[in-house]
Amino acid sequence: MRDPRRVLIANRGEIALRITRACRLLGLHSIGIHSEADASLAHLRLVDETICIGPAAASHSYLDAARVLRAAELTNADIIHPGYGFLSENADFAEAVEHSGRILAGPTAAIMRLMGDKISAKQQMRRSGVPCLPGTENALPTDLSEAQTICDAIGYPLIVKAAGGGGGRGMRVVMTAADLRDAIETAREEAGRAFGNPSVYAERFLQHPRHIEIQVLADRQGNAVWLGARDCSIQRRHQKLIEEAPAIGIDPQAIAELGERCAKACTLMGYTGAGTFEFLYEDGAFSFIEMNTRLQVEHPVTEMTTGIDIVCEQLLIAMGKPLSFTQADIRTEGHAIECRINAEDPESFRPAPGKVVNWRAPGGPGVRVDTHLYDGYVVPPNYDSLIAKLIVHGRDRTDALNRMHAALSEMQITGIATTTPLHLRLMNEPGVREGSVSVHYLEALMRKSAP
Amino acid sequence: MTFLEDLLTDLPELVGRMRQHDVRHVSLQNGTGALALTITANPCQAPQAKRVPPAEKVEDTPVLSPEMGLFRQHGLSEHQTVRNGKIVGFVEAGALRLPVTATADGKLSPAMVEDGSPVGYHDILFRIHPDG
Repeated sequence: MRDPRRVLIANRGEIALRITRACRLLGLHSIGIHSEADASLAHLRLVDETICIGPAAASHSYLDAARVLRAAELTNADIIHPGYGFLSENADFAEAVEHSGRILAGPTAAIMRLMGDKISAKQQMRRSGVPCLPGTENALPTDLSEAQTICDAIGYPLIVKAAGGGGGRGMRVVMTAADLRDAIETAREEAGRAFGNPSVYAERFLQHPRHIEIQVLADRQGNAVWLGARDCSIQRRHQKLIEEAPAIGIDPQAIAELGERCAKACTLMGYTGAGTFEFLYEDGAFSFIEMNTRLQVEHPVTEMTTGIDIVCEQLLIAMGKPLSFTQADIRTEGHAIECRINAEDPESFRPAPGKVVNWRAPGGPGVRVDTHLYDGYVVPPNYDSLIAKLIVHGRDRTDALNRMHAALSEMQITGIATTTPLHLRLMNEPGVREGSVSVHYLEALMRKSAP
Repeated sequence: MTFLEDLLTDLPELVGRMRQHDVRHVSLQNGTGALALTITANPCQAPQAKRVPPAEKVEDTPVLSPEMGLFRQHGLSEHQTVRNGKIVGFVEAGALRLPVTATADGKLSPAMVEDGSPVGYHDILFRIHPDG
């Protein structure tokens, strides 16, 4: 086989531009795909070739595995970078890419399946020594009294979750034993409808956890490293809004031990590419929730603190190159914060697509903007509302918060509503200034300030 | 810039205005130069009237690719007259061979892409210039 040098970017928006930049940096031939609604995306001016793969609807373009594969065939792509969302964690797609003789920038289909199923993922983590919440080893039995016995042993409160799920669907919190049966039945029904898999499992429910995650990179030669921890506790309806690195107020030694276990877990299962182990953290203990087998939206905060270009590393790994550094070479410096700028009403979070009349990016030391915006760009209503990521790096957390506030107030997006005013307000909130808030912080704050 | 250069830069606009108001002759002069302009009665015979070709193009009907795939010629000669619905080429999308059909009556332009090259969904493959 010839050297893999032709990269098809199977995504859109800011992340497609981010991947394009990495391709250009590495001198790789980049191929941009787009839907009919996306012909004016910023990265399409920078790639070496483009092809329109289908109509605006994601189900007939970016989510259509057959079309993406046909585009890869037509353009002779060697590597497919899926970005995040869309087909990035679709094991059937990964398998089809493998069968076509191409390389997916990510783990194998088998690993994606293993980690995509919450139950098998937890079993794998327990085997690798990664800490998990007390909970069921397998799916809850369909017999409700058997399920009741198992759940009583775990203890309450507990949470019933869909094995094949994510994003808060097929999830039910059970505060007392009396509520269990109803919760299992509704979670099963919801999981069956949403994911085509009605299996559910149960685990202890933490009341005020923080969301802490570990970024990993693993090559095809069996080397794996961890790149520090991120705190992504500022969320709304399980959607992250602000992410930062490192995670403050947690013993660095405890994080280092967790990181080592994650890296070891990668080696044990034969993981390749970039990935993230997500944990809940409460009362000094980490509990694994899931692994994201892809690049994440918030990867820049880790890039800012480690100086490692995660997207370039993903491409080099896909090309079969070994990691050019070891764990001992990795240092984290200062503090980085990312604010997700969404085309949404900052109060109701309703999507606000439309034409961006003026776009003025902020700047200055330690300021990075990952965005596909330009003057006159029309945000289409068909896709996710993320339009920009504002990332800052400071010598410490206070410095980073101040830089973020300054950058947010300098940034100008006119023509559409964005979440910028909410972020500006959050930068001055005592909870955010102090840090270490739980995943319920933002929703509680919004409820308190609601009229 | 000289008076003459200025005038030449603005010539397309000047000619457009002359046509609009049906003015055939103009002569202009100042201290540094002079220009006399005569235009023909029929815009079709006036190649210098740059505004006309874009206007014609607007009337052209594009023929779009029905799918992303490989474009295949159908052996039609250049500027052949076609009728709406006539097959003018094919796009191979996987196992499918989809016909590309004329979307209007008129003269078919040469194909915009080469035989056997990849085309995107709804890429323009031909233009049809109306008859007459």
